[in-house]
Amino acid sequence: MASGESNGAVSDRNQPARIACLLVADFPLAAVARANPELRDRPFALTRAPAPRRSANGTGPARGWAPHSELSHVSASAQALGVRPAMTVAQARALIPHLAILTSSAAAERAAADALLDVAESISPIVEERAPGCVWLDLTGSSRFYRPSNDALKPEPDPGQSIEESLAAELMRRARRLGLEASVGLAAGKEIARLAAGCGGARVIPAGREREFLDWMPLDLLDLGVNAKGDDLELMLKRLGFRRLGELARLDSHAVGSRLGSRGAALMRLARGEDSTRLAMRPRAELFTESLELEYGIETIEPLTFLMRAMLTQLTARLQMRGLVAGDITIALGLADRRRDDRRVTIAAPTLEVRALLTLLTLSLEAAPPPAAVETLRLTIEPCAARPAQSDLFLPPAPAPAAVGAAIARLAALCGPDRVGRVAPAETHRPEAMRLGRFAPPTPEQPAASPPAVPANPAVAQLVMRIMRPALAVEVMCARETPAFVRGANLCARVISAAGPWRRQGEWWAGAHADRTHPDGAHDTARHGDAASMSAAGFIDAAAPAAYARDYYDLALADGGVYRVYCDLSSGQWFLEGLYD
Amino acid sequence: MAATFPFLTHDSPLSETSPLGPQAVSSTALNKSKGLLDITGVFRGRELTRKDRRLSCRIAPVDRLLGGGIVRGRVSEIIGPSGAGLTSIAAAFAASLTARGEVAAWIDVTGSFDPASIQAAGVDLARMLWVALPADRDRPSPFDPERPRRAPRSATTLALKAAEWILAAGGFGLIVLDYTAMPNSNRRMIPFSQSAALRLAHHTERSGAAMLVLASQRMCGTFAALSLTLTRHRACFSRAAIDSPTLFDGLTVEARVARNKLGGSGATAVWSALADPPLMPSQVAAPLQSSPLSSVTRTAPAPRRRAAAR
Repeated sequence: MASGESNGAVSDRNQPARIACLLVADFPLAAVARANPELRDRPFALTRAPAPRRSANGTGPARGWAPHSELSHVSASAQALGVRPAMTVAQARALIPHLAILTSSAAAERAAADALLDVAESISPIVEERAPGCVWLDLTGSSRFYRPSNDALKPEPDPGQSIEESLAAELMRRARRLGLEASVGLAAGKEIARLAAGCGGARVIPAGREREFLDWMPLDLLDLGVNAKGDDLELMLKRLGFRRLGELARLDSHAVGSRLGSRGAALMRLARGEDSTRLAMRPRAELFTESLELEYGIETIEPLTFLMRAMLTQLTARLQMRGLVAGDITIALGLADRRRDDRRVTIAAPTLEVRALLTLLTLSLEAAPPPAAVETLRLTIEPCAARPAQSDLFLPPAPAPAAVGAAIARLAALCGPDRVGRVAPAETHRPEAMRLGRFAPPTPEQPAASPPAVPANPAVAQLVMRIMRPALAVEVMCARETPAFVRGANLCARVISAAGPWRRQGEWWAGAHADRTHPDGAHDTARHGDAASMSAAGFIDAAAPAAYARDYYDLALADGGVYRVYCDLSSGQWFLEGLYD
Repeated sequence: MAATFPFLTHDSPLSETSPLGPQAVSSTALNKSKGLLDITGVFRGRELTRKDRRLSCRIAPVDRLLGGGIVRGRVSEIIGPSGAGLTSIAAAFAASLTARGEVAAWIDVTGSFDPASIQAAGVDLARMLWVALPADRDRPSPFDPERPRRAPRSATTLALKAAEWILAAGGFGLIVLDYTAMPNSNRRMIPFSQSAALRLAHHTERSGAAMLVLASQRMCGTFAALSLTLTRHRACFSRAAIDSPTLFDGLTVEARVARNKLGGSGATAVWSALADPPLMPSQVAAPLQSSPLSSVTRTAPAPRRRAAAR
């Protein structure tokens, strides 16, 4: 959506403007509590200035505090026990020995501010951020189409006020779902809505009754600050005997402007309900990010997994609120040695399942662990539109792409990426060649690429062969140029019957190696009978010799099996290639 | 009868169990016995014996032997020495499944999967997930390079873990756990422990997939619903004339139900697995895919000529 401006006072269809303000009090505290949910049940405080400190392993700086550090924000439970802002840590600890002291986190505040914007954008497309923790949204006309979810079947209530109260309560519920305790004010203007939100809870100022609310508003709640001359405006007004905003509205505006300056004049207009400032729209977020700054460097992945689970839970809740699903994820790790470790995890099937996403992230970290302790962690999700699909009642069930993607990622971590997928015969006449591609099964209604062969006799099946990889080198003793005895590892038997030989040769026109790449990323690979050509780590060896010339035999041995054996004409060596099973 | 009572098909247990055959079942009898069916179904495991819950292999003697096929949601074992047709019958089950548009998985413990012959058996490889277990599992923990190396996991542990993950993903109709021993494999095939077999059976039941275990011995013990033992009768070689080359035709296999929780233990059937089975007439004329770079020189006759020679 393009940026633009919306008239906050009067809408296009002459409807009275309705602006909501979503406000989180003590935002730095709320942001830290959102990032550390365990702090909700215990008193904690934030220090004003973090002192540089070495990390636990001594390899890099870490954030911390000293006993003389001043407290900037104190939680409500700590304030109830007597701790106040501007106390030192030592003073606060004297009152509450188990007081948790943390430093304010810019990353946590940015993530919480983004979450608050997501809450607002889940209700209205016109959203403006005043400051981190304070968001305006335009709800003009929303009462016509909004129905509370629990009363969806009831007819629309008569007064629009109840609908607005429901909207305000819904905003608070959604913010709480994202870990933020917000208050909501709903009024005809931006500043009036902010004042209403500052009163706490969900407060709706009905249209036309703004003066009634403003007349009551105490000056203590206005946070007036200082004017251009540096004078404390609130103190000046109190010295003049003003206690409430309504008292200011009865004064002459020119006199107030000449005495208190431009801020006084603006305050005067606000007191009279003349709030016509416009709402500046912002572009919608295209990436969803959660960040975390750790107090200590984390050197193992297991505790990192716990943190990532909490972050993914927050991110998926934000995505769900916007009707989106998680696509590719970028993990940005800030390491103790001042390096960064950025990695991108591809999500084959966009999903909102935290478990599946966490599995993929963990597997990525397992495959290449970070080289140093992790001090900052940032997860960025590229959202995708949800594609709900209904399975056909009359078709066989198909695996869910997200579940299959997670299972394949796990299997690849267990067995190796070159051992999981869709196999197919390679485009070569070398019998043992195969190619491996990505497993993406077609939908049940899609027909097979080639119709299956159906034997004419229902009592007969197609005989299948098992290929030995690598081919087993054996010693074959021949009589009258026909194999008579086979000896090798785990095999020593007389030949009962023999069929063959028939010769296979090919790929002499190719180079030293045969390795074809297909458009879908699959690779043709060829294996040779030489065991030494198989790499120790990989199941598939792409560096096998290309040209081959072999004489094949089908041998029924005295042990009961029927084997396929070939003689490599270039070396004269015999190999056991497979077994009919 | 089917037109009057569309819910009574030839697959209905009532029509099968009626001593007078399907035509003898009247509508009154059906209505009266409807409640009885529900009760008897509980005791006889009607949900399991329904034919649409079974997966056939389209080999008529084997399907007759198994009462329609292996049961979905249960563990079935096919036991026999290597070369006794275990892979052929498993491929037949997979071909039947993928032809219906369902998805299968093949856990290849010995790494001897041959996609060409599996595809020739009718399996749609696009609908088959292939998982090959590594030769060994002795690598350091990725979490912490300083930690001592983990003990290598056994093939049984890896295979069970892979099977559980695939079953948990859901949507798979058949999972083949291929434990067939190969001459080049030094792995010892140890039967599953009781707890592992129970866990596998539990996962299989929850997913509704048919679990097929191919092994040289019984792996799941009492938790397998079916144990089918395969024995190779003979390997067939032939030649059209005295001077003509010898050809390998295929195997004749005897299947015996060693254990079946749904009844029918001890029954046997004989079937054949042919290297070049004659196909249905409509498929004989289908053009064979060949590469212009083909340079295969076979002294033996082509498959179609071999069939004619027989």
